[in-house]
Amino acid sequence: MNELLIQTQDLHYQYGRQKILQGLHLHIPKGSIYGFLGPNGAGKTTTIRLLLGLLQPTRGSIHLFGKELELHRVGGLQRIGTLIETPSLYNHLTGQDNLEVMRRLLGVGKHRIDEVLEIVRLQQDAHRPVKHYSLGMCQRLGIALALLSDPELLILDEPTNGLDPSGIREMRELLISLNQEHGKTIFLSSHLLSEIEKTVTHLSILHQGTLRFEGTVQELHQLEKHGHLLEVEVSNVLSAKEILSVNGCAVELVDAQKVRVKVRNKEAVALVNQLLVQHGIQVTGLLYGQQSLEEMFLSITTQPEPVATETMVRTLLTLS
Amino acid sequence: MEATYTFLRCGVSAEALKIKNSWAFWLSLLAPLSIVSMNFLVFYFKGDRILKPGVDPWFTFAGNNFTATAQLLAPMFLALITALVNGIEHHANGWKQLYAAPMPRWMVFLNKYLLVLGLVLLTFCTFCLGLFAAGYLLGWLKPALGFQYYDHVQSISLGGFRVFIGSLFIFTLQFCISYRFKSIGLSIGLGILFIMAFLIGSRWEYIGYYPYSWPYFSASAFYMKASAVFVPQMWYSLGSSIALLVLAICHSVKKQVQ
Repeated sequence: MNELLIQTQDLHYQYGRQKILQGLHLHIPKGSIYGFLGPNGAGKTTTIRLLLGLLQPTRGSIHLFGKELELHRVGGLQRIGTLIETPSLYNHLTGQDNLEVMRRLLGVGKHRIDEVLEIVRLQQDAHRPVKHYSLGMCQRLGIALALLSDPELLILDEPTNGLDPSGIREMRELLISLNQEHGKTIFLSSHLLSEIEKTVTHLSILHQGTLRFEGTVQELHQLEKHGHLLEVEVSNVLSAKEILSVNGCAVELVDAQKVRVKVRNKEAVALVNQLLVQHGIQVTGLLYGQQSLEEMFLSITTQPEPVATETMVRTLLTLS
Repeated sequence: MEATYTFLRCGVSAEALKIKNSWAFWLSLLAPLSIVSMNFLVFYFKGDRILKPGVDPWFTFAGNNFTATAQLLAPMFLALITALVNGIEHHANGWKQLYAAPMPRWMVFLNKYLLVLGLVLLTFCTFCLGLFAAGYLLGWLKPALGFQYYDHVQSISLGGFRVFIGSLFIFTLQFCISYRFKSIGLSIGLGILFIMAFLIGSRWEYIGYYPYSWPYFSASAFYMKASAVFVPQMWYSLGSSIALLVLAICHSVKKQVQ
């Protein structure tokens, strides 16, 4: 089994009466690019702040490099580079000076500044004040700050935030090269699966403070094969939605004629059709397809689980 | 112990770089020089009317500088410099980066505190040096005033030291306020409010217990011929600033960085 660089057990965090995180079990293996996914407000940044000791958990434990964070905070943080939300930059200083501030704080050699500037390709602009930097350059400088101590683990909170498509692609290439060429383990959070699905090796999905999935990308693809979407063209979408929802189906409106239903298998397609017809809804079309990874992510974070076929069979039996 | 020293050296050095190209450093030099220059101009143009012939001019000149500094400049400057330095961190949203750095949490507060304390010390040194320079320059430009016949390096340095110690609590309090609150306006505004309270209540019999009066009472010792090095208000200031510093460090260790 791979060595775990971060491990959390039953992590809870409460802000006032509001429960932000509930029972989080995270396992970040060495050498991975670990995507931490979830919609805005799911608790990603809170989790990262807990991992870095910026917040105190209400319950549960955090282990960094196999040691408990609370007892070995300084030792653990020495091996971590961080970028939390927007980078903390001093706008009146140049990029080089910003790195020098962090270099002095960390007590690392001066040569590291040139090395990290080269990695993030900011040598040309290093002597310009940060207030003249574009958003993408600021993000890259933030990564350079995180890399300064040559850490084993990088914790990056939404590093692609606010970047244009080419900036996102650049960041993706940078992260892959840091992982593959420099051997860094990367833990990065994002609210968009499409942004990181080509980059990550492992991922977890957080929704409303609870972990809905954790595993490799292959494992998520396996899960994806079990989830299918059925587009149903009907005479009355509102009645169809109500009937299917009452029977426990995850339904969403597509347009004025179609609803989308999440089903487990082909057998369920016939049952959905039968259910609608028995309620007097005319079904004029059925389109059965596999759920994409993005749809999978959306369904995990926005909808209930696909209804079990048995539930619909039971309803149909009652009707007949 | 060695690790603590290394953390402090690295931390204060990093903090020092943050004030590069900012107003904080220049304010530390210009604020004391502004008081000294104004007094210089007053004595240059009207010195013959202010000073009695044959009387030591340094006593009046230094006294005027100390009074203005202790009553207004020191508290105002302390409110401003602490707000400016902590404002740099608030503006950069840098607390999360500092508290996630591999150093003990109490160092974050102490590093910044020591840097600003260094700036305040620089201000008082500049003030004393400026005062000597202005006095000797008056002696050269206006020999009739008689500055060149007297020498008061020791008593003026002691006066500067007294105001510095008397201001320590105000410094620590203003530092804590600006460290805690993001709004520069709030910390400066509170500073002005506390100074106003002192000016309004300056005739109150218990005003000597009010922290914003302590620099004034410390400076007043300059006029007393047989005064001890430490007047009571200096002890109050020193003791309460140490107590507040310890409390603030303990509080900063538990700081939750949202």
